[in-house]
Amino acid sequence: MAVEWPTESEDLDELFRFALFLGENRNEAAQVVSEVLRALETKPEANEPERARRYCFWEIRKRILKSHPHRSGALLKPKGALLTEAEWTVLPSASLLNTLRAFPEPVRSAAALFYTTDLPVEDIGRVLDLSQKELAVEIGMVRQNLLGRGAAA
Amino acid sequence: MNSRTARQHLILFRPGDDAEDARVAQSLVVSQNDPTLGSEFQLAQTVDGAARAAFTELNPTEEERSLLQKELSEIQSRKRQHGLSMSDPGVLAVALGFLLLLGFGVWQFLGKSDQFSGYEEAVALSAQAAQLDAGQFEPVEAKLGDMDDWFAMNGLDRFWVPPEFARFQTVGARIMRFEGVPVAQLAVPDRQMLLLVFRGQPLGISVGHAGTWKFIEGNPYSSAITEKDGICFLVSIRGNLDDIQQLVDEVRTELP
Repeated sequence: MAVEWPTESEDLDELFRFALFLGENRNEAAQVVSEVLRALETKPEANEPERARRYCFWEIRKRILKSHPHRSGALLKPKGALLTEAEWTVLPSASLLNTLRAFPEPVRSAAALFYTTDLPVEDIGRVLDLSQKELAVEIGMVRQNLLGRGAAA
Repeated sequence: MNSRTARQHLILFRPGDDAEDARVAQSLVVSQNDPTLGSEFQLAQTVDGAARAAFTELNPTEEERSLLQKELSEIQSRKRQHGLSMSDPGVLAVALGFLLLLGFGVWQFLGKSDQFSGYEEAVALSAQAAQLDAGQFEPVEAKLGDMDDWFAMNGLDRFWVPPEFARFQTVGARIMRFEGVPVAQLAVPDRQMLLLVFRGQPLGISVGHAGTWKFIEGNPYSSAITEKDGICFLVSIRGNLDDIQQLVDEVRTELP
């Protein structure tokens, strides 16, 4: 079976970052990405780059959520008024990632795919079974919550 | 375009997205002329930039990248060794050629069939499915037992293939709509089978408890249908009632 995606080192980086973000374990991330690549080889999705790419993210998430169940639900709007750019303090990367990791599913995965890949938003929706409207609401809520954390920093 | 609409379009905007897209381009203009929206958009870009930068902390090390590259190279190497691929239009045409040979399209249904709830709908569905064009199929090279992910990735949750058919290899698949209901259609060269998987309830089709098979005799094709958890599986082959019953008996006997 021809595997039409991934083909580049950057493609593998995308998959690894996503797996590491969700699983928080480097060895497991490498292992899961390798397993998913081997699984992709036998899948009908392998023939077409866009579908292969969606399959990889979908399968990585499925496998990691199976080994590391994560709470699911809605992300609530933070209390208080929205900050201005001048008022917002950029969080250290580790703190920002931990904030994102604490979000419920599927918001956590939506944020990861939105920020760490250039997967088209339509495809992010398909991977997570969200409409574009739902995805927009989730990403808007992610930004508001990051702003809230920045205010507290 | 007003600010509210522009805001909606810009929520999912990322640098590098198609700013030539008319709606996005117009939204960006609106944001430049609306100070509130403009500052909101600017702040969103700052937050997004910080988030994107944070994710680069998760890049693989050189050693991890090298391992993944090795895995990928081995897969690509196997691809070259295998040579022909279903993504090759010529190969696909040959693989799906049997569909043309089948001559589906003229299908008379005879009266010697089992009766079940939604029988007429099942017959009508089979007839529509028979009006196929091999070109509408996408190359799908997989065992039927491995189609779960293909179903799920196409939004067909809980779709399944009976275990007795899991070993058969499909070469093409497509999703058709019958009375607005999505129906997965799979082509299997072995015995020249054409398979349909769909939700029975929206079409009023119900076969009975899991493991029950009902048969529909037609000319020149006959079908067998079963159901589990509301998902129906219908298989058609060239032949009469005896032939389709024999096929189902055979595959059930072969089940370990």
